[in-house]
Amino acid sequence: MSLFRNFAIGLRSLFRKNQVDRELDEELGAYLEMEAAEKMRQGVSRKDALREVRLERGSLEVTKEVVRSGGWEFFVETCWQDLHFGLRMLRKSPAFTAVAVLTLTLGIGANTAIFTLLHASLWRPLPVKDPQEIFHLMRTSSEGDFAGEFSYSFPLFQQFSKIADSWGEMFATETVSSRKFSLDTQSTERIVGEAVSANFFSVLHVEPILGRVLEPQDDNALGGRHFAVLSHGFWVRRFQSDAAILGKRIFYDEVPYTVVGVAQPGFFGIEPEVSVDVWVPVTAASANRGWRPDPNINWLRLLLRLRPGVNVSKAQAMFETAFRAHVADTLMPGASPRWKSMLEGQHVTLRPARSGLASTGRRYEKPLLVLLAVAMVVLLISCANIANLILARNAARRQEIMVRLALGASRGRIAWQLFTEHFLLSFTGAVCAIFLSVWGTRLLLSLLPQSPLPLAFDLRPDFAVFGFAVCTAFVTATLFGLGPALRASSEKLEMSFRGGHQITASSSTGRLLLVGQFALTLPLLVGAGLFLETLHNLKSSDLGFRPENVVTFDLSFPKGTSEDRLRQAYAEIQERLESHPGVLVASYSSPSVYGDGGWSGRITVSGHSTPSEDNDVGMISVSPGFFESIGLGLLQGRYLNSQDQEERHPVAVVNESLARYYFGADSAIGQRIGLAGEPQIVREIVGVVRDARHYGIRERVWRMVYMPAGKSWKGGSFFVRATVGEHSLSGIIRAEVAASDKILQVERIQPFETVVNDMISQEHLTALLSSAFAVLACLLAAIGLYGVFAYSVSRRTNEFGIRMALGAQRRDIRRLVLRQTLGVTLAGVAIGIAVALGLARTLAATIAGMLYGIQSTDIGLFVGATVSLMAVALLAALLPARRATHVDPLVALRYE
Amino acid sequence: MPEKPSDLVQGALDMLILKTLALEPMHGYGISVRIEQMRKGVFCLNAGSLFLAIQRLERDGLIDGEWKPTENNRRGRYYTLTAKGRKRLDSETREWGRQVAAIGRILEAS
Repeated sequence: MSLFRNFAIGLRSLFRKNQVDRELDEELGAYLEMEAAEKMRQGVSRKDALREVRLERGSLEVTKEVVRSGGWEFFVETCWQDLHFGLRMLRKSPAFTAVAVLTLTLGIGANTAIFTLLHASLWRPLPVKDPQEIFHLMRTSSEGDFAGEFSYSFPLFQQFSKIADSWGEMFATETVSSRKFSLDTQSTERIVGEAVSANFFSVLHVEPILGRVLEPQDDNALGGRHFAVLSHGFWVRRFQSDAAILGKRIFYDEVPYTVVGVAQPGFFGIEPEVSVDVWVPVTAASANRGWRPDPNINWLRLLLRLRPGVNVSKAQAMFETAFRAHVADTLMPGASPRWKSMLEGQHVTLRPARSGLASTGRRYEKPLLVLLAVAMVVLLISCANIANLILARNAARRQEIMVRLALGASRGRIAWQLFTEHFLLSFTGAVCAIFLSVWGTRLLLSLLPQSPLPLAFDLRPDFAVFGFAVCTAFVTATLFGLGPALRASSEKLEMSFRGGHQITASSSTGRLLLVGQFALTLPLLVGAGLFLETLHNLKSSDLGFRPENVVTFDLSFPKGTSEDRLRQAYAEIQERLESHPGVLVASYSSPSVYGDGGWSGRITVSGHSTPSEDNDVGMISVSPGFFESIGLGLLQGRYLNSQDQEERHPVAVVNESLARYYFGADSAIGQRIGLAGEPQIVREIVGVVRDARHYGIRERVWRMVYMPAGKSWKGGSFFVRATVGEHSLSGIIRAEVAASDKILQVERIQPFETVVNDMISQEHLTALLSSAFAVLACLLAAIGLYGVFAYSVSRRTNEFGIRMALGAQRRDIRRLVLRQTLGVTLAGVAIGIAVALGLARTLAATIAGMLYGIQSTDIGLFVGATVSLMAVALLAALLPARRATHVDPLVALRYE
Repeated sequence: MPEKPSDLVQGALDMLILKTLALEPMHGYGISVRIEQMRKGVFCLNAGSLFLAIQRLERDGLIDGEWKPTENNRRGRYYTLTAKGRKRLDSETREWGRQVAAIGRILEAS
């Protein structure tokens, strides 16, 4: 009540200022009048009475000030005045303002852009009720080759669901994927779909906006009910919000589903990077793919909503116990030794999933966090520059500040006013930065590799992003503005009115800031060097094959297409492509030879005792011309040819690792091997090829067996080595595929190099941005150095003049200036080396995974960084030094 | 050397104003005269402090201001104690009494 009253009265005096002032005048006037009248009654003259009253009670104006400054509105008014004044002062020096605002825009913008991306994919809570109750039951292994995350089988989900009942409720989803969609059976459209357990919506508290969502009984029927729920976005985009869609049949993944409802607007699923179009029950989806509820078919992710107050570690222990029991009872019997050791290393843990499960985001979390830290350091460096600018500017404004002090402004008032000016700068920078960051996040996204799913981040700046930008602006303003503001307001009055020029202390502060800048720049340079070297090592590491001038593409076809028809179609396409003059060689393989996919199995070698337990090899079926098209070199024997495809006499090509492992110095040619999955067949080795890193540059080299793509052919990827460009080649590919068989569709034509490069896109992103930031930091430090010394030289013109008049040579003057810059730089670099070494030591474990072929304490890099930073500093110092030597003693002495 | 009249602590001034207004509605000058009479010149009341306190009390809703003609035919602002102000005065008076008694006991004891 009284708060409101206070507020109302304050508002009145803000907006009806004149009237309130008049009233105060009148009240105080009456007060003094009455007092004077009292005195006059005692016989004092009116003039004396008024004088006495003023002496006793204080002057009218001062009293008015005191009363006025009592209310909260006075503070608002002061800030308002300061803002006005600040704006005027900034407008008066447009160059200074422009430089400062631009620097801040870039600095804060870079930070905001990275923050936006991290926030959108990893930190923003899911748009569901009480997202903090959602947890992800992760099945992971941290052991060597098997390290990674694993999925669950449907039976395990059912078993865990029962355990989960005492803690909350569990639901399952498959990884979101892109699948075919149509209203009749003929269509090439693809949409993003997710199979979910039927309690998915009820656990997440997601309501339908139309019809109904999936309900628990939808999972009960054998094979599941073929019901589908559309996302609101998809319904609006694809069906123009037509309510008649309810009850209609759609084909998803080539199977009919009945649409039962549309989910609430804004709900995109549980992966913030992808927007799901349709949800179907897991039971229906698995039935369509011919999966029985087999404990060995792992394809589900498990999440649960824990009831508030549940002890998470207790729940986790419960799940772990159940998981171990399941492994021992169900999975271990009948598992291969390799799979057994894999199972041994697996554990389940509960992780908070309030922000959902972002796969791309999780992969880029570490690089982005490192980049955020780097961007913050760059911002810090630019703060030092701005602080130096302000120090110089305040020195120029000293007269103004002194006059205001002399006229009775309090020091606090002046400091506050100056700080307001600095905050204004920073805030303007932050507003521009938000606009810049919208563009910056797009740029960042474009540096990420293309994913098979359309990335659908919501990157619009929200409150968190605004908050981040404003907080950064405030902290920045405090960092660069508070010091100079306090300093300027604490100048000694008598000093300044003595006039004339004086050596100011500001240059020593400036130098201190410079030392800081250099100390911060060096670690950035070292870091950028590490990431660049890593990228270079990865790029120049030997893949074993040559991805240049090769284009790869996939084919898709309706389910149930016969293997015969497929085999013929693939062979025909290969033939058609090779008949083009621009195409050197075309081939296909299964699975694709790069990336996540891959078969492995046990090998038996006739006549050789197998060296150890580890007898798993990688297996790829390839067409003739495969090795030639990807450029995989032959060491011994021959490549596979078209006769081999008939499999009348089964043959295989192995890589050198396999040959060395089993046959040592003996020749592998003519040896016989048997492979898992084809117990009746004995293959003769006809060739040995070089080792190739098919599964990633950082992966170890597998022992490989390449078999002819024989009778059983289920489809795979094409590789075309050509002399024509990618663009015209993709035209040829589309035309030839269309001409060969109508049921085949071309998917994802891309240069093989792109596929390979996408595997190191994290390193690419980190190296690119960290070196850009390091260059920026160098530039800022150089500008800072130049600024401080140019200013100091200009103030010391007089001194240099005297020195030269007394016989100093130009050389001496130059040496004088350079020695000072060298001192500052050396001090900064020395501290920087210490900081960088400390960081390299403490972060060694954290960043080791981000490096390749280089240690974080690499001596060469430290030397390189130091030398290049010193060179930059020297360049920046040469200009002021030159100017100092060109001082004309006569002019300089007249300078006073 | 006679000591200068000491400044009044803020809380005490507020209480004195409320006490003065408890008798009858009054304008600023009236309040200052009455306070000085009551305290027989122990304190010198500065106009700034007085009106600052009045403004604060009014904003807290303890007193109400109203323009009325004064005895010498000018317009003056008269202040009245509100119900809330009367309650506050009572509680503060009790509290004051307790504190004075407590301090008194300590001073006598030593």
